[in-house]
Amino acid sequence: MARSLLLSAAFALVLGTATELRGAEMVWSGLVIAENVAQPHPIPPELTGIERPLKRLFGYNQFQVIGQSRKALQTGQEDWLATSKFFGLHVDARGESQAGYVLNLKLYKEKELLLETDAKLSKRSPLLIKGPQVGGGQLLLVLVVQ
Amino acid sequence: MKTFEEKWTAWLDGQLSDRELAQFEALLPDKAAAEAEKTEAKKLGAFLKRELGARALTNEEFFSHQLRERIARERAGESRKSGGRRIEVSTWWTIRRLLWTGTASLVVFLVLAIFVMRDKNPAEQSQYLTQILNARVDPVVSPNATISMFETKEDRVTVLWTEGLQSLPADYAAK
Amino acid sequence: MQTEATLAQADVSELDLIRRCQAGDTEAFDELVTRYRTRVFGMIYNMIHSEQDAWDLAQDSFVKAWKSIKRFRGQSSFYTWIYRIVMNVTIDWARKKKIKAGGAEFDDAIQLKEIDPASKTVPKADALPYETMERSEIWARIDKAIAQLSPEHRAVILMKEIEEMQYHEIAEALGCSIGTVMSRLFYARKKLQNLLRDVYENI
Repeated sequence: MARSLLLSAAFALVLGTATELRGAEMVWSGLVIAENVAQPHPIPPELTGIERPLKRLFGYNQFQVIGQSRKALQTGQEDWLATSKFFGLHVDARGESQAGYVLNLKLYKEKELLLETDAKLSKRSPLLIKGPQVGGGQLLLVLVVQ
Repeated sequence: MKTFEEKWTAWLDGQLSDRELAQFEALLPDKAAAEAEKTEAKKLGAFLKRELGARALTNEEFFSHQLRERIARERAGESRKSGGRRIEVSTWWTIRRLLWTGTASLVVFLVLAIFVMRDKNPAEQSQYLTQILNARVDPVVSPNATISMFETKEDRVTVLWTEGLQSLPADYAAK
Repeated sequence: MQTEATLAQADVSELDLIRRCQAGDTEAFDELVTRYRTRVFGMIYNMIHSEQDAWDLAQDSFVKAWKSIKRFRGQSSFYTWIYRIVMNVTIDWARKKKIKAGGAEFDDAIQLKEIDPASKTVPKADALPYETMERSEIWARIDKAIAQLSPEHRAVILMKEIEEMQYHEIAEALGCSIGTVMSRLFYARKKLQNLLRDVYENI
């Protein structure tokens, strides 16, 4: 009986502290080209979690990751770059709260700044940004806390 | 019309009212020279119209054919998307499935309410969607761009939607 | 010559085509394309002087028109509406290609110093023997002169002189004010007069 109680207490303690412990979280940033093609490739593994909203919101059936970066956030003050041949997505983390990470995002086309935004990226909610049309498709920016 | 350039252009194109015409011509230091300029500008216009007006589209029918193909591909892509959704709606939600899903949702909700929600700060619940704090485009690069944002609670995604950014050729999709 | 009645009929027929397009009728859109394809292509070609690119941009313009036809409310003519799309597509492309005016972008502010509108006409250069000038040479001279204008100046001069559009139609197509259209016309005409006087005076 006592041992059961002890084990239960230990288990409850572990569960309780587990909710408070927050190790480094990964933020995945991607530059994605979305297109409509006759025979689409399978969705890249990085996007499987958001395949449905990607297809539904933007109306494309094929997604190709042309640039990406995966950054572990320890302090919430890191900055990083996801690049393709012509685009660069600069992400500057400017703090962390319970709700998520405050990020400044800048999308560059070569040296030209196309778009800048500040966002509070929630740990449970990806951010999708519709960029310019590229050929017959669209550039999308995707940020996900993993 | 305020500037001299605007008045001159309107005068040249015969777009001034009688009153404006009298006022404008009174300001001209040398009306004969101005009239000569006007004649010359009209010659230029006629010359451009004659030489450039006849740029032909060779193979017009092929142009239309190619365009039809392209639009057909666009429409096929759109109808695949909406048709798939229609099929999903019409075949998935039977009465039994609705009842089962409803009951399961209630159970899940109760579990969450008892074992999970009690540990969470109420303020955090309202923050679970990503928020756009502000967004801007470079007005020099993209003078016609617009930005809007929305959240879809169903998918729990936040979308920053831009329109009017400069379109780029397919080469820019390179990795 | 078209009478007012036939013009009115043409307008009605075009509105009918547009309504059918808005309902998804691609044959109606095909008919609109047939009516405007040559002018659209010609306009773009005069802007950028590349047949292949003009073809592609004309196609892009019509695809955009198809996609946004439901937003056409009839507040302007269809012609002006489609020209807005054509200009957006073409000027975007031209800016990307950075077609510059002889090393420096042709700019009203720069030109203000160089052209004194109140001055007398600059004396003509000696006439060259253009009696035997080939058509291709004339076009090459025109193309080179127009290429020295910025995309926006090119657009206004071509829309005014070739398409014979009104100021408000050009303003709507380019998304700028009527005053800006008139001001750009002023400088574009002055520039082209300086560059082409020896050609058009002697033909």
